[in-house]
Amino acid sequence: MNPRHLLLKHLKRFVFGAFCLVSLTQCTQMLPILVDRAPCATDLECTSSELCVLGTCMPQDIQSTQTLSFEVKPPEDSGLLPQQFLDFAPQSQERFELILKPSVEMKGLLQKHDETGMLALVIATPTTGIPGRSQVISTTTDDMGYFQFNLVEDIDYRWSIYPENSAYAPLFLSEMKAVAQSDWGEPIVFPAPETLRLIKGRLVASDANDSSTSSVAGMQVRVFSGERLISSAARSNDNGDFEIHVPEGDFENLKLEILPVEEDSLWPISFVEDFALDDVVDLGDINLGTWPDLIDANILVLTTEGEPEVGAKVYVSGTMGKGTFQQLLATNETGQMNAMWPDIIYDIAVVPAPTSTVAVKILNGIRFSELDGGLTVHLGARQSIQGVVWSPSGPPVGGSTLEFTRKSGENGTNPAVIEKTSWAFETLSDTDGNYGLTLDPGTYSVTLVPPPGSTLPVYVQEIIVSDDLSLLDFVFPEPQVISGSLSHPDGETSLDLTTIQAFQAGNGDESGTSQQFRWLGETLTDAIGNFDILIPQ
Amino acid sequence: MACLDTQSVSIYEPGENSPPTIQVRSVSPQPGQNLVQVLLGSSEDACPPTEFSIPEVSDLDLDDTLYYQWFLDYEVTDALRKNPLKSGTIPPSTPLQRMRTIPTFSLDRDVLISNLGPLNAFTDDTHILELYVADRPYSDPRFTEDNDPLVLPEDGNEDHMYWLIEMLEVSDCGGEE
Repeated sequence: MNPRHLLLKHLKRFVFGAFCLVSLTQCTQMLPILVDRAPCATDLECTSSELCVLGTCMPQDIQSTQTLSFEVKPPEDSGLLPQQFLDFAPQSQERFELILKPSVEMKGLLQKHDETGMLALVIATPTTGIPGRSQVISTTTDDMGYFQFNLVEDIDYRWSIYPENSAYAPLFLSEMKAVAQSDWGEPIVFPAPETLRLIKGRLVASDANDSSTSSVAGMQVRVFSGERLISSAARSNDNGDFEIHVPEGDFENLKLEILPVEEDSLWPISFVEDFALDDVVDLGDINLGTWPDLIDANILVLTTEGEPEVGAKVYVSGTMGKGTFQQLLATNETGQMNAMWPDIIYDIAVVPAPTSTVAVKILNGIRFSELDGGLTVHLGARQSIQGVVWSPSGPPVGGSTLEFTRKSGENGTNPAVIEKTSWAFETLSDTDGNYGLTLDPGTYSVTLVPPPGSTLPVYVQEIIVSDDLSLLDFVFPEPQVISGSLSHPDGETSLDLTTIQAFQAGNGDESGTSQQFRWLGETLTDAIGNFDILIPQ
Repeated sequence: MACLDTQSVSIYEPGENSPPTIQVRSVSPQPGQNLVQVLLGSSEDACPPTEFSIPEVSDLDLDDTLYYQWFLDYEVTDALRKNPLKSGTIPPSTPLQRMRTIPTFSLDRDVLISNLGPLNAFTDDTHILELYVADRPYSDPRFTEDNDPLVLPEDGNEDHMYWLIEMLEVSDCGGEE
């Protein structure tokens, strides 16, 4: 922060400090629109031109002109399912009404080709919804193959059915509308495995000393089309053989995934690509590589003061044969991590606990067999960040929660060893709005949560923490109130304690293939189903 | 035959610290013996997170700050699994109110990979997700016996809730093909 900003910050603190001395009540984070309004518990206590919003009578003209989407999660004892309302424009000057749909019971019977019951996982996915937040519903069949679950009436669902018996292929049913069923209907019969397309092979490992191979048992094998799983999971038997069946349909970009499932298995996760579907695809011997010797992998993690760092996560990744070996462990009370791992070259990431003051460290090209006495990792200090949380109208906001979730490095990507990992830091602002904490360098999503009872909205923004960042203020945006009421499908039952979240559609990515939705705010309905959501203006 | 619900009633003297209590009715999904299926899609963002909502935690000590920690398969002797998946603080309300809300906890593929490692290490079994809520700060685990993160000072109280969960890797969970 440059000197001018620092001066401005201290001036703001002085001005608002003096203001607070005059009247303590003026220091709470009141919505400007709530000041000097009459208190209320329901709309009926306000005039006909007002709504009871957040305990205060407010003029009715405060509604959004934005198109919003809502996700509603009723209490489980209501018998209703979570539902979404898409592209809703709450422009009315009165409370807009969201009417939930009833649930309907759908049921069925799954059978093998010989008409015996099929154990399976049944998944119903709505065909429309807020991207990334599909209201997926799943159940499992009983021993006889019967299943039943509740879906939202009149919503179109796609069904996927995954048999437990890997000899059968999953079924992907075309979309169907959820309607109440009075009986079990016609059984859904799985085709006989021998009528399905077959992929088979044998998993082997090379001997390190000669050209012989040995079978690899107990590995899980699945088939993907791109990123979509299109088979049940098969296991390689004692001879290393596996057979896997693929359902009807056109599938491209086929990929066989081979992964260890036993907790003590140290085989890497491997893939076989470049094959096409036919009635029978025999991949022959799939050589997973040479099983390397296991060696002691000892890591000692020390702080900047040379003290042992307790509870640091140690992510390791290394190329092994056709695949990638990955593990995650943590340091013990003496700052050590001890394991027996294959003798390969590793990339290692040490991530201290969020409460620690030492920073993440990435090490590449580590081979434990070349180290005397293991690896000692000296961690540097985390970046110290401090600042003030301000309300949009000026005063600092005490009691705010700041959650910093590290999504990636400063350049927006993570090293492969910690790809798709994230970790979070949390702090509170003090009574003067000051906060301070230490962070790893990287790109963060910061969620600013006002103190409970405040009339400020939750605010999410992205920041980059680099070496030269030490002062960072946050300003809550102006709040806007979205007022509505939630109705039970029977029109009578009150829906209290229902969680309602508001989202707003973004502009989508450049290719236009997916539309990002931004989370705006969340609230609970009151005793009669009314709700008011505070969102950023 | 009907069962008698013998819920214990505690009476707290004025000045005594009353415990935080999670209001079970409002919790979603409902905790206990029902198996919660957590679907993990095969692509990076295919399945939505499974959300655990705790909208109501009551504490008669209105000015108590509450502290919460989420664990998966908590085991004090396991250096990895005694790390909370998430922890946080809930300051008192303004104005002071008995009921507080714990932020919704989202369990998804990335949270699991970040905290427990490669998916194949834990997708085969049933797991236990636990929430602890206390009205005093938990002791810094660096200075507790076994580095236990669930040690409270003598005057601290806590409530606890658990869910049995089953993680299932499936095809995509996307609605639109």
